[in-house]
Amino acid sequence: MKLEIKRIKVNDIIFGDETIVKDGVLTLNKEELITELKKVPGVVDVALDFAFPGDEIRIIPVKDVIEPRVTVSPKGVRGFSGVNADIVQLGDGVVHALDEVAIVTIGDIVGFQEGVIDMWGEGAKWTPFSKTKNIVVDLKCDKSLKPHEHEATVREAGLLASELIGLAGKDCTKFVKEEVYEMGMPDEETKKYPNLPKVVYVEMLISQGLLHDGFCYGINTRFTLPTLLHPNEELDGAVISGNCVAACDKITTYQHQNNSVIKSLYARHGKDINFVGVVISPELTTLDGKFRNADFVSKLCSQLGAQGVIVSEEGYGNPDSDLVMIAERLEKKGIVTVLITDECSGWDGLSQPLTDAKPEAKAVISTGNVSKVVHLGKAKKILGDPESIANLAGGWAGAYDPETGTMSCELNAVIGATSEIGFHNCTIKVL
Amino acid sequence: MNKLIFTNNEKLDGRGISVIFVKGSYRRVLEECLRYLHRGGRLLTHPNPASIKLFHSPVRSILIEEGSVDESSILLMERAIHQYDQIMTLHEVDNRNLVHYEMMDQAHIDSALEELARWQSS
Amino acid sequence: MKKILYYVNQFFGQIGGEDQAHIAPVYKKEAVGPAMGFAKMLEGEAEIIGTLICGDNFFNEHNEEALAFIKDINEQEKPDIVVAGPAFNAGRYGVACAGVAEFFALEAGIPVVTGMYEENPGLEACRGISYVVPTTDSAGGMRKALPTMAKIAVKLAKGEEPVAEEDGFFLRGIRETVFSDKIGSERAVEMLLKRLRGEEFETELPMPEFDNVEPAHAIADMSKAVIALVTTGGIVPHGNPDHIQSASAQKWGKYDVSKLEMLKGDYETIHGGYDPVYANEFPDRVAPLDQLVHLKKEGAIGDVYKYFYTTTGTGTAVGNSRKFGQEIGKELKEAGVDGVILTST
Repeated sequence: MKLEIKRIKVNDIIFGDETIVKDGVLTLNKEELITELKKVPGVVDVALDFAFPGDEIRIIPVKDVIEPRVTVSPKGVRGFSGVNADIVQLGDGVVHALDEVAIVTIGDIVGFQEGVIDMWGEGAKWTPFSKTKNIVVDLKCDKSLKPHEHEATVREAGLLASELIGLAGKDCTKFVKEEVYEMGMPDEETKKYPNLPKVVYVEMLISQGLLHDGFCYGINTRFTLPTLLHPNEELDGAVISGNCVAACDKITTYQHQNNSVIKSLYARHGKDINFVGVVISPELTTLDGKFRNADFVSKLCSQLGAQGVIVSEEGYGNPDSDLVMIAERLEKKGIVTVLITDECSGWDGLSQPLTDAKPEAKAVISTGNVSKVVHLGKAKKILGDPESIANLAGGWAGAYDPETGTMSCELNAVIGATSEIGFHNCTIKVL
Repeated sequence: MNKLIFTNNEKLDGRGISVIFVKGSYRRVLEECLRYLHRGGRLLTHPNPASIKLFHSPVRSILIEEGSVDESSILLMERAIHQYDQIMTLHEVDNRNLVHYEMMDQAHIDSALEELARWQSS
Repeated sequence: MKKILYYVNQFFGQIGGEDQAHIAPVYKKEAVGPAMGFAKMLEGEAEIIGTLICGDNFFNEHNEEALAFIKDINEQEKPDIVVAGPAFNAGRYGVACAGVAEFFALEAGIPVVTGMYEENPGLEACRGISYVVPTTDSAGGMRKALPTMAKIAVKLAKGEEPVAEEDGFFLRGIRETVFSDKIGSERAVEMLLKRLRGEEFETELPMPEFDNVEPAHAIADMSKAVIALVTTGGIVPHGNPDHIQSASAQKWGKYDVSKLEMLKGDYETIHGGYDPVYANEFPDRVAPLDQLVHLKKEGAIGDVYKYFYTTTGTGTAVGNSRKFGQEIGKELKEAGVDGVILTST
């Protein structure tokens, strides 16, 4: 498969008469966009705002982050396959992406949602999305919608927004970066690199129901067995997020489109490793489901001849069981495993980080302590629901000072802070 | 095998399954379920949720199956209580959003029941 | 100049030895014992304003009273820094230093510097909340420990943050979230490559120690089995004839119970880690000799082994515990005992 992602530099974003990128400026026709988005059933009103790096703007609660793109080849392919567009095989072709631009959808579906992005100051350090130029899409939905309908509506509208805005880059010919992802199927690649160790990436996805879903080619991963993908498929939009709650470690659609583990492994393919595939591993609610999937994932890895596996987690709590079970099965088969997870070591960093431990989980990358308290400054502007700020206070009194507008919150409320696909650069140092 | 739901969620619809209502907190549900498991039974769902915010929920439902004593269920439940304490010693239960948590709890039990219905052989 | 309050036990406070371990705390407005040498190492940044001296047994057995006294002194003297010990391998002293650290660091918000041997049972409790300098296991290590502790106190006096690797104290185990120059996925791939090449790597999330013991084979015929009773609940004959410690035990005891139907009446508890009322009323609640005798009468077990083994678990060093376990186990095995009921609290 060969996927080319051509990145278009955007220096500024403004509203204007058309939706197009010209000379580094992305112009958006606000009315047209809003009219189109309001056609999504259930959407009652839409507000569009910008939040650029350095602006003293706080965005909260964030539902999803998506990269605006357009498929230029094969012609006519639009949207996200199986989700808001026809099913097509992904992974081959040419895509234009608006570089370092992100669509951020906001609006809470349930009252306790968190998820903050601060574009400046202390808060900005802790999220990767303080570095993107964000187009914030506030979706107001029909109040009579049931929660899962509400979620589906916001999800669909968000993806549509990314598609409509992505179209702005359709005819661009100048690019700041051209990424080429070219890799055959495992047997071809193994013929080319017979001596390189085979590596599989197991990507765990929360698949537990309302606001905790993931989608692969449009199918809710609650309903699939662990699935084998070519790395290009995920980079080309095969996996999208339906996870609205775990702010610090949920994999946003943007992060699926730019999956850091896939990119890191791809860079080593043909040099140090033979990257043979990505296995999507759903994290189910039932224990039988967890056992079944752990067995199946380890079988798929064996079937592919994996000698090494990287396993990334999504979420915190019961998925820790899945992570450790998968590591156990792989190691017992002699497949070396590296796990990527975040940890909960308390406000003082002294609590035992792991509750579900097995000796096989011996090689772990820690993406940070979700309980670490950070102090966010007073925002000049808040995009979203100021009420949600009370949720961010993490349930302890005195964390939000309404006078000064400054707030203490835990990292677990900051979007992407402890990304378990290693998208961000937090780690742990023992003092 | 008969299924049971341990819960403190007053709004929970057990969808035909017997409900053991626990008066008290989320933690109490975990404790009572553990006590039950010492005399028999097997966990069908993991006692804890998948995102930290859901740990702040005032309500929690756990699905179990009647039967003989299952050691791994007991061990898992003990670890789950420890995991719960790790997060909740720092936090207050989020009673403000009770209605939404009740709804989320129902939704996740429904997911579990739906999963079981699909996977179970008879 | 910053004010340092120094804490020592009855021995280092020059009051007496083991025979004075029961003394209640006193406060002297001067440097006593190690505090004297310490005072000369402070580079003019701080001074010793006084020394708290407390008997090790008193601190452990009358903990609330001891802390109340210390709290008063804190309010009266308002120290900036507290130094305790060093306790070397003295278990009760180490536990007392840990108690002092807990009070000052957690309640009063004052930094604490102390020192002890790595196996001292007090280490666990205070290493995360104070600066604990590793010492040798005997007081001979004082000459090396004191200057290291003093340097840390000086840093604190200057408002600087001591660093474990530079300043020579035990890693506190605080897991601090920091920024790496590499994103997580890059670090993951590097770690994987190391593993694939069979190279050394360092996990970022260490697993706890898995100290698993192989279980012995099941007893084939319980009705013929000899069962021994062992406890770490500190249950001893009245008067504690062998002076087993209430915490940080240095020994275990062995007593003939073959003529007894229960421990009640002849035994009591000396365990410093729980409220003794119910155990003193009926020690079989902790070490159920009465139940074993009952089972023997019923024919459910063959016999109750004539010796009852006991020690105190609380604050007892892991090293000692292993030793006791091996020693007692050896005797029981040689005696042909089939099984053991081991109770703890």
